Amino acid sequence: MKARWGFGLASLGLGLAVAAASMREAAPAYARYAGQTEPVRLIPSLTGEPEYCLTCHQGIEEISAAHPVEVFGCVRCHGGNRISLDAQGAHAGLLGGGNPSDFSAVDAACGGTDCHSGESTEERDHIARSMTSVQSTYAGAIASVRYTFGAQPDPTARYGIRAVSDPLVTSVTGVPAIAAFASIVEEDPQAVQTFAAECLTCHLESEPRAGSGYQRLTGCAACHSPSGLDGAYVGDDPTIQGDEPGHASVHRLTTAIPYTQCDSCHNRGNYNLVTMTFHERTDLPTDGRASRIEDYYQPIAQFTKCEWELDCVDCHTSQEVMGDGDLHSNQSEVRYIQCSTCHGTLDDGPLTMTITDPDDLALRRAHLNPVIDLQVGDTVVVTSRGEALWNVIQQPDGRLVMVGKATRMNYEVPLVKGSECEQDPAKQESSACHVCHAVERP
Amino acid sequence: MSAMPSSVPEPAEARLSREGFLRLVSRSALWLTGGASLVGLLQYLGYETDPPPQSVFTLGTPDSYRVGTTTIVPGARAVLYRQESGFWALSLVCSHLGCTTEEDNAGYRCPCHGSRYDEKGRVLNGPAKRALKAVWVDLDAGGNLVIDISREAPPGYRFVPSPV
Repeated sequence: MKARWGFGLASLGLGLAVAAASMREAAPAYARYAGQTEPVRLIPSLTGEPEYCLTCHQGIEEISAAHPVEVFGCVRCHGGNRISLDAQGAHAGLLGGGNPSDFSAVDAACGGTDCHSGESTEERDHIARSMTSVQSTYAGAIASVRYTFGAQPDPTARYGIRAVSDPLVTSVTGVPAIAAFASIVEEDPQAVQTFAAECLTCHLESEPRAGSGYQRLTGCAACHSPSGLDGAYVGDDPTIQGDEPGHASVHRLTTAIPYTQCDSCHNRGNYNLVTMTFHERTDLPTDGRASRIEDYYQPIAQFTKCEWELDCVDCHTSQEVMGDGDLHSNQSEVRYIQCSTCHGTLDDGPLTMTITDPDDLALRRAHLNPVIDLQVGDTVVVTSRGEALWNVIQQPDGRLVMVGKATRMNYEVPLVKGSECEQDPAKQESSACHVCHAVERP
Repeated sequence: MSAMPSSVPEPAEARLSREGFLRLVSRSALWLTGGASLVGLLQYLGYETDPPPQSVFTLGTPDSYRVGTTTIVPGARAVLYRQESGFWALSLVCSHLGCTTEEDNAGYRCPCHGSRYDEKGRVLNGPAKRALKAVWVDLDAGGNLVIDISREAPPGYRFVPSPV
């Protein structure tokens, strides 16, 4: 008798399971996102392999004009299971979680000689440059703080967020290798340990601090996929919750990086130089409505008009921000743009270069952010290291005009030479220019 | 006079026995399962795989193209030339990462990363390192020009239609 009951119940269970499976087949889980019941297939021309990611993610923004979805698809960069229609299955093996530019995955996701690594010249090997940059290693701050508190005898970098070596040191200040800071920090003075506990969120491998204003992604996307103040996604992908932090504003990579993205790390607060505790800024309105001049620099800072009207990327170059390929002990070793780079001195105008090589990197960068139609034969400002400020272009009448990379606004660049400026040509640090040209904070 | 029964028994078929109920449930479940499996099997056997991407494109008769003309074939992502020496065609797929190049002053330009090619498909500037691919041109059985973008044509290849 018991066997009969068991058989009957098992049969009933089987029937119910079949019915449930049939219902699920009729209304698959992905249908709730956009209402469609037929999977959306895409065969990217680069891979030639069908993928079904857009079944759920239809409406998502194209990541950039350089990565059209019909060519790249999703899986080439994001990884995952291209034919699964189940969220868990499709996302198994995603590179870097939802962010393939995270440094844990960036080589696999974005690397390759046709892509962002493996170039013969360091200036074009963007992944290697970024991963050895001070913004990635945080070696500069670590070395300075350890030196300041007596944990090392000089400010030369010994430690970084992770161990990195550089087999090809090309600069005078480059160091061949650094060890992982975590391996030594517990033996360091208390202030250094406090610094380690509170201040190691300001590098490209770290999740940002919680809270409004700190929101950014990690890796390349920390800069190239800007976030809003609250980290909410405001795009059209129905699968991404719009009210949760931790997202870029939209699914987009850009080199037109607004100053607000730089501000998610820079100018957010100060360290107590005795205890190395971090103190957030308290001078900004909490509703995110700070004016640009308030937002840009902390109250203690001096700045000129162009330093807050322009975006950081209008002046600061790729080598400064993403590194020159070497490991350095301090950001000042790679930060070299001065006022004179664009404005010249009393004796000389700025350095310029006429583009003759159709493969010049300046043309490539102008193509990716076409705020100007840069051509072979155009003359642009170059830095003392020969790096082009491709958005500062000489006009036919000789004037220099800077085009805002994020704003597209045009600014005529006044020259010191021939002006009434009373500078000492030997003093070209910005502090010397601030003596006369600093603007008042309202 | 015969004795009357004290109660009238119910007909057996009027009440489902416990055994009968279990048998009914078991058989229903088995039929349901079998039916669903059969539907699944038929769906599986009837599944049509996606057709391969089109590689051969028919472009009409040769005399519809005048000598000296250049014709973009958007669906094929290719361009067809007719010159004195004959017909030839270039794939417009950028040799860098596969975006579709567009016409510009000097030839073709990739909208994705800015590679430029001359009108013969030779690289003018990178990041592309290889020329655009020349593709096969021929006539089909109906006398129409066809290009096959999956077949690379040898350097200098020209298709000359036979005179009718």
